[in-house]
Amino acid sequence: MLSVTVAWRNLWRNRRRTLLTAGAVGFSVLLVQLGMSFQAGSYEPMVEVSTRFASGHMQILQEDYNDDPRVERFVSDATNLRAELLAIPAINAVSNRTETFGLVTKDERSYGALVVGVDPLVDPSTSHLSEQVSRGIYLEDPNSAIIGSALARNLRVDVGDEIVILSSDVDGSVAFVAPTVSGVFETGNDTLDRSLVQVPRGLINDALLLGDGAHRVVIMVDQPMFPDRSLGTISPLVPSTASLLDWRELMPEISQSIRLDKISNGIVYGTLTVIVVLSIANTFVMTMFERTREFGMLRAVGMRNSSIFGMFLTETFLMWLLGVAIGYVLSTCALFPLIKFGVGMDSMGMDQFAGLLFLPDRIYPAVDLKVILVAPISIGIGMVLSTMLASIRLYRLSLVDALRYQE
Amino acid sequence: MKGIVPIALLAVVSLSGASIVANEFDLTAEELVARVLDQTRGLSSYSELTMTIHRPDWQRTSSFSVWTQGREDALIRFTAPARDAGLATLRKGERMWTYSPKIQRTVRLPKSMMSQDWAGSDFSYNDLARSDDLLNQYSLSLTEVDETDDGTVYTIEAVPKENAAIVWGKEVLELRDDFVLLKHSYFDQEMVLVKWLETLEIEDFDGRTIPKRMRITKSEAHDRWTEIIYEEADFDIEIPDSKFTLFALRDSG
Repeated sequence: MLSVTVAWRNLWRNRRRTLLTAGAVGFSVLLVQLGMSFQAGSYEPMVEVSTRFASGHMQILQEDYNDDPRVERFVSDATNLRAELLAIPAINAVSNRTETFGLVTKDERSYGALVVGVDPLVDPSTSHLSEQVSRGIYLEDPNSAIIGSALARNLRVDVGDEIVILSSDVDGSVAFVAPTVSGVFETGNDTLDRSLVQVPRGLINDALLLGDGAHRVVIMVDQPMFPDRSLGTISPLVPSTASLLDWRELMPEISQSIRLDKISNGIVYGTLTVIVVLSIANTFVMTMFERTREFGMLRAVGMRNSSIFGMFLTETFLMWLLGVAIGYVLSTCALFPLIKFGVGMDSMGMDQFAGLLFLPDRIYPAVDLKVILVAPISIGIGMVLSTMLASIRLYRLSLVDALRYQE
Repeated sequence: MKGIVPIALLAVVSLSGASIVANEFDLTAEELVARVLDQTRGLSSYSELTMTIHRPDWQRTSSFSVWTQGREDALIRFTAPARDAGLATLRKGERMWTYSPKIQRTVRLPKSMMSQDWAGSDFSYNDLARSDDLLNQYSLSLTEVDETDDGTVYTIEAVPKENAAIVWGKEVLELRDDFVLLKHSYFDQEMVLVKWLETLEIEDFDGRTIPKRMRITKSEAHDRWTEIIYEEADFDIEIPDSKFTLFALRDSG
């Protein structure tokens, strides 16, 4: 305890330097924590938004369908499978979807599109598309369709018009459906707005001779960021010819952009930490020079090198504690309002970018254990290493040289 | 889109030609092909065919009737199986429409679809729908003349002209001297064989010798093929012009 008291007093022998060093620690903690909490806060909504546009958190699909979608590769008896899946507590929602590439025509115009058959009462629990209908209404009639705004513009159709969709059924024969457009949706994602049509699953299944089949059994779970946690309970229900994929496999671009973001930010934070630690190391080495005679005297009165090093280390620890405390106070002040109100993407001029990357309108920083601990611990390790580096002098210098040292 | 009958068949009809024996030494490649094509120019025909699509794990057969008038007009209507019956396709020159009795709607098929594979079968719209392309868009050369037991067989190489919008690197036709097409091979831009149409049976219909049974096979998968068989064919018959209208397309009669 005495050594702690002494170390604490030593710190305040040069108040300005101590405050500056602790401030450097504090600000780098603040910076890294702010950055990391924004990252942590953006991934989950990014996954949530992107999965709700298309893939869902997980899907059961017939083997090979994801790599080579063919109409005959469907999961049969999908309604029963859905009921069984819904009995699993970790699962929030399940929606069966039928997909086919079709030619959407109106009079003399025609465009290729992905035609998705959904159960209109169920699908909104897994997809935001029903909320994106900007004109007209979502699928209510069994012979209705909602189409993307750009596709509607290209085909020159509006709510109430009939469109004809040509596709191939499971035998390769021509399949026709002629639904009436009940709504036009606008997602902000060009690809979807230009090439997606949704119809009731019953309509398209009849035309494609699919019975109760579905190409994608879309599953939403409690913890989308940790899909592995639900695998154990879901896997036994997956039919033997089908496979279970999570969003990381279904939307590799999302998980890859998250990984890329983590790596690039890791490099920035790492560089920042190294710079801060190097400047701290410089301070420590300088301190060592200044206090050479003091250490010589301590040794002369019988203190061992290891004890002196211990005292020095305690000073470092206290300095670190002070710096981290400053950092925590600063980041709490900064993060509290941000977590509460979020940051609008438009305020950063990133709203276009956001639509492209499936980012939500507002980002709320998220604080987890990693955010709290990574910066303080890595800076702490750096400071201990700096202390050791500076202390080499302690062991190299003889007692006489130390006592006679002139600055 | 398989149900839409291959306009191809028309080409088959036209290429299959007539029983006039050519003076083989006087004809150039262009003239040979032209003669084959010209045989049906201005003529009309009615034929009934069955088509079998074979896949490793399934096979299915359908039947349809084809009416042609000149080289421009054609109407194809499925008669079996029941769920395809009435499905019809009308061709007027470059334009094509298809009609579904199930939803009672007619759809104009876009050009972009012509270049696509005719899903389910091994025919693609483009190979099938074209008529004079071989004469207009290709440079033809007679590369081989073989004397066989069945008569003289001409091998004609067709290379697309510089500016022609053709996906193939070249095509090779083998014709018998009575203008029966024996084999039609398609090569890609790297001159690799992609698919070939071959005549498996030849028979006389209404005074004409035509390939009765033809099979198209893709070279990448020999267990996937499509076969068409003429069950009946009548040539030079009276067909009213009203047969080749959108109105007639909808009329399942």
